[in-house]
Amino acid sequence: MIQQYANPARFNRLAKTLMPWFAWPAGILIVTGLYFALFNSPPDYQQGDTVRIMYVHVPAAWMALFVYTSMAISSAVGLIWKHPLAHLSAQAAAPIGACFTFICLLTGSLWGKPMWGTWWVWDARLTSVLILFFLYLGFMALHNAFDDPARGERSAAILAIIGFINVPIIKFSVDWWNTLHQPASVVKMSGPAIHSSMLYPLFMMAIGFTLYFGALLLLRMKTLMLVRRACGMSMAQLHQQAAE
Amino acid sequence: MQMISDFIAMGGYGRFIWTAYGTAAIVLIGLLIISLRELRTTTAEVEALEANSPRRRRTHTGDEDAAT
Repeated sequence: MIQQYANPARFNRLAKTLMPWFAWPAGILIVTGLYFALFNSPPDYQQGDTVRIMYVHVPAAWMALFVYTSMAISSAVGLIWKHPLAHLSAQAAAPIGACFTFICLLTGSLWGKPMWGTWWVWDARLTSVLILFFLYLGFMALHNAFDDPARGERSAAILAIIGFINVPIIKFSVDWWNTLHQPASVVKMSGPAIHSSMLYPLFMMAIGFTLYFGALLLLRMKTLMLVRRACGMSMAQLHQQAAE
Repeated sequence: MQMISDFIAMGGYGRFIWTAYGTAAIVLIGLLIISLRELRTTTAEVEALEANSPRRRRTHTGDEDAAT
């Protein structure tokens, strides 16, 4: 059934239908989430107002991992089943994931300075997230490194799949090694260790970011399809001119 | 007035918090604007190419499915 969406016209129709369902709720959830995060949530008893950085930092970190996972899965689908949209979706997702990882690193640093007394430490969590950022950049660079787009696609896909090993390392780094970073307090077996007044804005931001990713992914995939089409058409025109 | 300046000060952590929110907003909105602009220029490019070769249009929709 999925094969149907390999047809650009069908994909465009599907994207057009889905787009408003991603874009509008994303905007609404992020704005409401921001209101609660900045105005209507309590300061932390230890960290004071700096805890508000959490509402950007944590959802951005989740997105960094989520987008990478989706990229690794599409890369695998692209390599194994050769579905034409799979590589395209990985290629479209990479810059979005890189942006979320950058936000995660930067806001983490801005949170670390007042609370830990340092902008950066080379500990397991921070270093593995920095590696994730470089994996995104490497993926984008490899994609563009070859004259033959199919080779770039394959090499980047292999990098994305090998790099996936870093995702569980990031997740469990706070449990496996001693780090300055705190262990998970939302996603854990015993349930979240955060009060609902902080949990709700956190979830609003997280779902908002996910929908923002969905909308942007569709938009970027559409652009990439058009780029290929333009490429094919100008090649065809060149051939035609040469023939005439 | 006091309320507003208290809000901006964020208990003395204002510069960290506002820099965090500000850069996150710039990055996410910036990426959205860049992506929209790319879509617009590429759409224009494809339309220009289509206008250039009206004869080949039909045959082309045929092989795109295989090419993409």
